[in-house]
Amino acid sequence: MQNDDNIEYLSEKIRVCIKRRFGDDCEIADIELATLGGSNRTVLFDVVRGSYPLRLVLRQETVPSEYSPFLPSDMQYRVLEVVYEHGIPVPRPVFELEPADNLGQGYVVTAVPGETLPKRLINSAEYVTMRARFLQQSAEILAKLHTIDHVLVPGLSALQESSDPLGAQIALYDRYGEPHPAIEFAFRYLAKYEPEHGAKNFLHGDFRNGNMIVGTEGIRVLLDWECAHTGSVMEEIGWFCARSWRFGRVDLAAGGFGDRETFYRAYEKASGNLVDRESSRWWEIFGVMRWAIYNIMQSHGHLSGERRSPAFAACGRNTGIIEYDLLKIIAKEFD
Amino acid sequence: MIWSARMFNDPPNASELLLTVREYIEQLLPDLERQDKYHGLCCTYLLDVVMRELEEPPNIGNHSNNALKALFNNEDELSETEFMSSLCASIRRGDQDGNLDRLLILLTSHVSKKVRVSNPDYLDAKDYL
Repeated sequence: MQNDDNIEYLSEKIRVCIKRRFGDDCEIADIELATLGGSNRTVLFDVVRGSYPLRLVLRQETVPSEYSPFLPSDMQYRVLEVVYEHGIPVPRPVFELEPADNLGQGYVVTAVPGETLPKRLINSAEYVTMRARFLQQSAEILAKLHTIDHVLVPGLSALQESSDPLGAQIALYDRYGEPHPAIEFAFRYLAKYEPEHGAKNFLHGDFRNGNMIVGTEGIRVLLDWECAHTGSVMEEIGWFCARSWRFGRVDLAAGGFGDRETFYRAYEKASGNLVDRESSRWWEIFGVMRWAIYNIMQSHGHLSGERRSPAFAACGRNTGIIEYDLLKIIAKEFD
Repeated sequence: MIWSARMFNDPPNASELLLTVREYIEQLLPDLERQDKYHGLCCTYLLDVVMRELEEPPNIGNHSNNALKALFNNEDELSETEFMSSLCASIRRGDQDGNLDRLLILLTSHVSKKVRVSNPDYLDAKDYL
């Protein structure tokens, strides 16, 4: 199998790619295929020169699908550079892939050790006492991120997710051609009660438990910037509080870490801006709707053969569970 | 009754075959690591879904849909997919805007049937409410 799915073949290409930049006297070692995400492959490896290894991560775009709602790799890399320069905790951007690397689109960042699994963060005894710290840090990081001038990433404000968030989700849903009356109902409900959105800020776009690496001292870095766009900060706050990230602890509405009011107040203190509670709740419903569509997207990727995987097949059957949440929240039976 | 029991095949029946595959994957799981273990767990979940689907009456989806069809005075002989597409278009056009409270109840019932197959524990767990 002479393609990048073969770890030996991929390793040799990474070796050439690294030697091109860091010289022939370095070697790569301890290569590990970490995950195959929605549209990327993550490969960890050591660059060894002398006795000190530097662990790096290759994020390689595997499915540059025309249907993908995710930022292309070059924009993701620019986002990473900008937020890193502004002191947001992210893996340090090292370099972007070039055509001569023969690895397609992607980039390399430094590896950061720690925990990412949401269920472990929420339920493990090791992290229970850290929840309040994670909540506080989440508010502080978001407040700082939301002050970054988004024009530093050309094209960010021109995305449909930035100019017309509900329209962007409807357009994505329509591409898959699956009838989901519960999602249609949510579109109608959200359009009817859509609040004024106000100023557009720099948003991570997928800030939640699961997209951060933590240690026992707190949040180390934020990951997965492929959904970055501009919009109301209430969108980011609502997404963080959406029911889908509580993993069985529905009482911990703010990202599985704590209650909403504590999070709202921490954000208000850090940013100096008031949280519009009503608007944030609207964005929570929007977020659950968006999550349902992302599950349809993953299932579609599996069925179309773009990226076959049992996990993506499971996403298709997970959609109904998310729709159930969505309708129960709209009915005010779920919080 | 399951589908294969009516198809005159030799045993094991379809559910028993699926259970056999599930048991084998479960035996492998302790020795798998990271991504392989995750996908192995997903496979056991998917097999559970298929087993529940096989054990449901074939027309289970119709129970909730009949109430939806009645709401729309649907007298056409549409397939389930055609009906769902037609329902979606109707909601999108705003034809049901005067009916949203009733529609919400019926759609919740319709979605519950899907969850009953994909993850029945989710419907029953008190701590989800």
